[in-house]
Amino acid sequence: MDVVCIFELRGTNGKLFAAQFEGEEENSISQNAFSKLRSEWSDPDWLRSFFIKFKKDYYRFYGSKSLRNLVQESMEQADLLFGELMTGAISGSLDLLFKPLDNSEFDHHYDFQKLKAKGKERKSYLRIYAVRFGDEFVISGGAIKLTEYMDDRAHTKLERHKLEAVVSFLKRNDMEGKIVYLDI
Amino acid sequence: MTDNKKSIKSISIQSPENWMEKVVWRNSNKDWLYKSSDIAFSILEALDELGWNKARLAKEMGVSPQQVSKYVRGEENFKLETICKLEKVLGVALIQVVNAEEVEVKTAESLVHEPPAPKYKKGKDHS
Repeated sequence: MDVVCIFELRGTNGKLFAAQFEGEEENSISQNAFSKLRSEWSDPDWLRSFFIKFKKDYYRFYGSKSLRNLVQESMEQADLLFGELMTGAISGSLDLLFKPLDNSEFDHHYDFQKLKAKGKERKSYLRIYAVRFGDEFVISGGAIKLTEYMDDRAHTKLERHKLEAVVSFLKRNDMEGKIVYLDI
Repeated sequence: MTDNKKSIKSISIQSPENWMEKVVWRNSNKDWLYKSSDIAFSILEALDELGWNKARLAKEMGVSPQQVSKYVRGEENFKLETICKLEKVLGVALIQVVNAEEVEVKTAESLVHEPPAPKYKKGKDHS
């Protein structure tokens, strides 16, 4: 899955971007990874299909809940998360929302670092994934993560590949080694 | 030492979508949007129950498949006329109007026929 291009998201002062992957060019609703995510997480049809498939994963982690309530809960959490993302983009505090994907890197910040954002709720299972470049962030996608590891399910494993694809795209497009140190 | 760092902006294009407007819109309209999603969920459940797909529903309703897609996407501000037609076609109740008088009567009845307090057997500590 290759990145086709990067979109700068409006109103973010050039700090927040989203990758467009192959196949997304033709879709007017899901033009990039971020719009696709927002479309899916506000769509009861998509959410219902997802939870029919993965409700057992949910039960294992969070206990039993009706399918209807699962759809409603995830939609409400998604709206809150997108609200937080908007607030972070406006206030320039995206850094507080995006945390390293690898928990052991909690106090490390570096270019091309893979990141995740999740809701404030204790039981938040929604994830937005992004790659850091300085104080800029490129959203690669997101997932409803109901298992401990991303490799446990195909849809979360795919998100790891998408993160990799964004890193490769940025490096391929000459974003690597662009810090020019001048000896003065 | 100075650093001239390239920005991702230089390799990106501006998204035409005003996503913040949409986030604000959803937040301002969440009360009816969540109700709309709930109705969409009921429609989807009914379709599964009947073994119909969305194309069949479109045919039964006499609307386009795109219109049915809108019904189940959770952002449809349904007219009562549409709700009634959907209920008839699907054979399920999608919304229910609470009858205040009925609620009052039921509440009064429950007060009259209040179940007796549980009687505890002697010797057991229920404190």
